[in-house]
Amino acid sequence: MQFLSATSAWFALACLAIIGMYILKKQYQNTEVPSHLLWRRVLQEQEANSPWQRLRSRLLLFMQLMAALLIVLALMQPVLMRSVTHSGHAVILIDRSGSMGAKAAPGGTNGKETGVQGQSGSSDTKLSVALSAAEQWLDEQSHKRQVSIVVNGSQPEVLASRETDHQVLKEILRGISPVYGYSDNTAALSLADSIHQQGDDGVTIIFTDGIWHDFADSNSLPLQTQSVVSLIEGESGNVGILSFGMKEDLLRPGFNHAVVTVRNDGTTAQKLTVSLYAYGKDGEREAVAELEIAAEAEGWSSGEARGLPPADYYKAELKALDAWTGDNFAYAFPAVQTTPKVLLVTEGNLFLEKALLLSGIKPVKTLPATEPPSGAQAEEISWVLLDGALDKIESNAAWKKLLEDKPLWIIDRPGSDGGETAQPASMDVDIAQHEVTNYLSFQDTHISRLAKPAAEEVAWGRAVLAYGGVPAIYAGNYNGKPQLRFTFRLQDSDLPLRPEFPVLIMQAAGWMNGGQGQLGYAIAGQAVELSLHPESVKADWVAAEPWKTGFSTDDEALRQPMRLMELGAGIYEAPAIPGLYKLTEKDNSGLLLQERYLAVSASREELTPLEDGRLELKLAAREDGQEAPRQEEEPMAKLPLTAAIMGLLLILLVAEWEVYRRGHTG
Amino acid sequence: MSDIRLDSARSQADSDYSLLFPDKGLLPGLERLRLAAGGRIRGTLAGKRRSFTLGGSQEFADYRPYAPGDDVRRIDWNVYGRTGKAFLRQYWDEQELHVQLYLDVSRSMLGATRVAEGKLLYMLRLAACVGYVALCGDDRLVIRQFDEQDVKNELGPLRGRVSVSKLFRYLAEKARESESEAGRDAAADKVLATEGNLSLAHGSSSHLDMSIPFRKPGALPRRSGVCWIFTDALYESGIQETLLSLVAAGQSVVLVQVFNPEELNPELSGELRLIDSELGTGKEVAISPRILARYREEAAAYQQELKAVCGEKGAVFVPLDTSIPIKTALQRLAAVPGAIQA
Repeated sequence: MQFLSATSAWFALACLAIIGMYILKKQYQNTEVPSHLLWRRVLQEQEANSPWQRLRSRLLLFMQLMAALLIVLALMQPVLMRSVTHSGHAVILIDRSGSMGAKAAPGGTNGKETGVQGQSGSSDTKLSVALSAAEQWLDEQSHKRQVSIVVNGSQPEVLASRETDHQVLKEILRGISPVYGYSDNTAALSLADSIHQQGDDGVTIIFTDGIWHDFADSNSLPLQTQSVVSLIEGESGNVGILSFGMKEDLLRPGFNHAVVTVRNDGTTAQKLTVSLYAYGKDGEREAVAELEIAAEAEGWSSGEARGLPPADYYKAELKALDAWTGDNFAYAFPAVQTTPKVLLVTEGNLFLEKALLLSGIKPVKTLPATEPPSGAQAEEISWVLLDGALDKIESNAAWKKLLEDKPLWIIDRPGSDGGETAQPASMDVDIAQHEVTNYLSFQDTHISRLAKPAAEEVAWGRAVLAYGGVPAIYAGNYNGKPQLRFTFRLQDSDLPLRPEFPVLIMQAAGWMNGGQGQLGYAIAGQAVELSLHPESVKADWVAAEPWKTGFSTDDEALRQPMRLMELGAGIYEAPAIPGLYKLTEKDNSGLLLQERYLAVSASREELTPLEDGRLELKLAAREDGQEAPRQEEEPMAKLPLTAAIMGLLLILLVAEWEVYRRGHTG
Repeated sequence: MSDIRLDSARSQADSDYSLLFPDKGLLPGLERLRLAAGGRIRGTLAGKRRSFTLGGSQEFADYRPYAPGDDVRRIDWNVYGRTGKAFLRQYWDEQELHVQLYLDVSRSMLGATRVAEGKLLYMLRLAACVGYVALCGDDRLVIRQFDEQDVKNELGPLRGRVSVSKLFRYLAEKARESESEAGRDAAADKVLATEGNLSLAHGSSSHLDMSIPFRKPGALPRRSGVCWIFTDALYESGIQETLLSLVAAGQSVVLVQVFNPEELNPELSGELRLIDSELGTGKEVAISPRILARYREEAAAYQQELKAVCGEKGAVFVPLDTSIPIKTALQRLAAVPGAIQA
């Protein structure tokens, strides 16, 4: 509240006059009493301080003083300051990019721009400061004003459109959590601007931290409506892991060599401690190395750790209490994969052997006539490739047991083993979508003869490749293990001479390996290409080690498995929150088919500070050629209170009259 | 002609009677009562009160040996017959009791103000009862009025029931006179109040002294007896002195304080100029509950003070509230030793 005419306060001196008049008041009601005898005794004390005595418990006096003060107050012309410049449509654009998840500087928003003072403690994130600033701004608006809420993200979203209920708007604001992936700010700004209708006296209010990687595009955007930017100051001096890479340790074969690069955005050099952990099969964690990296101010530096033991995955953790914890960890997968051993039962097939070796598989060759390996030797074998000789082996109990235990890849020899055969009618190739047949066309490939196994023999799988109308490759699962069957002899085909052959063998070997291998790396919310297990009907992301984001909605989301979202054929959405995720796939009966890890990190653009420091978001000239003011101070409207005071005064006068009428003067 | 006069006199007597005794059944009860006499009485005429000398009443007192010169008619011959010695029978002398009633007719007793309303009438009714009791008991009754200055309007001495109508007329006249006087004074007060020179309107003294009228010659009773003072006792001073001089005049004093309940517990509010009804002086007061509470304390303390003063002087003190019915007031008087005997 402000007073337009503060000097009128001098009129308050009139109150003294009223009090004086009461003291000097001479009119008393004459009342006869039989005698003063008793009164004299009572009044002895009272008469001593008579003038002040008269002012005690005087309802009328107080009411008159009150009335006088109200009049003086009215003379001083009090006004309430309210921002009511724009009564038109307002669009709130909340920047929820990953950088907004960082801690806000104490003192929060740059109050000058919106008239809002952020009341953040140092533990508040910039986003929560921005949201509370938005709520405060909302409180200052009239309930008739239409407000829309737009947020950025990989796709900008309109969360509320021309809403007038502040409660609903606040609920929506409270539900906003950061987007760690790529965020298209220019699109969001453009969307916010396009929501305005021509000439609706609108305004776009942008709550952002100014870290806007595409500001150049934004600045060149022709905006129709005025924009107000409320900058949220962030805590400076973030440190983070920029990259965490793995390669094979050249000095110790089978071991890994890690390279960690850290970034220091602070203005002072720091010694950063990065701990490396290896995670085993069952998720057991083992500290394998600790790196001390001296990071210069506003620079990068790297550290290395050699001889890391084989593990499922590794984690680098930066021990620092900084503005944002989302970049204080990184995951990496081992560069060295353990080579699977495969029992190749063949009478000799050089092409096949070479192709297997190329696929990173170590074949152990044996003749069908020999006894199968047993004990530890059998344990080492991942799967068995049976090149013909199926009938010879099946009569041997030891072989039979081994084949039952291991995944099996059979290559038939049509004709020689007496089964039904077929001549392909044409060279038409019919390829079903499968991991084994990915990327392959089999164009111009010639196969002279194919076996036609009985239907019950191949009931475990389906034909993924048909040549000339005859099934050529069966793939499927037998007792939960992958199984593959080529119904043609490689020698009966020119396939081994084709460039597709090694690819086919590699994919087939990968399929036999059970698809083990990790999904790799992704940016939060990014579309990733994944090939799921053919049997899988249910796939979920499970956070292996949930990161505490500081937003309850995110923490809640991390606690339970997230459904894998398919964006297109074979393209899926990566989880939206940085961390390590396990993709679990289950089949119809709920049996776990496979588990693979995906390391998700925040968008690089959000992690790197802008080179020119603070972004100056200059909004472009409007169509009429006028330069839109960048941050216009919202003029405050004055809401006079005189009428309200006068109303009070009237009520007081009525009350005074009542008091007077009833004679409660004392 | 004489009949008409008689009739008018009777109707006058009836109106006196109904003015003084609104409660019709009171009078027969009064006949059974007697005024308490402080001690043995020395009167002038024979009466019903035993005197402190021996005399010729019917009441036996003692025997005494005969001495030459005694009236031989007083010799108890029965005793002489039994003993052979002459004894005289002695009897108590019975004399009349001198009863003085002093009625306070000062302004504070008048009904000019709301507060004093009914005080005088109440006092007159009480006095009628007490006077009636006295006349029924064959006592010698004298009634006097006193105000701030003087003792006046003496009635009596009255004796016997024949004087009852005289007594009643006297009291009723006073009641009527005060009524008209109060009306006149109220009108006069209004004029005075507007003129603003209220002080000294009624009296020249700024100080009320009860003993002033009693110091006047002839104000005190000449013979010893019982003296009842009906007053509101609103005097700054002189109560003690008055009591002393009355006791010195051989009176056994009964002080009846007649007061209005509002005098003890006033219901006032606002800013008031309190005007003393007797002195006419004003006092400006902003009434507050605190002041009223203090007033009540003071009023109670004043009554205690009066009681102590009376006790000191051997007088009987009876405070009577005008809200109490006369019958109850008489019962209360009868309960106090030294006032009325049943």
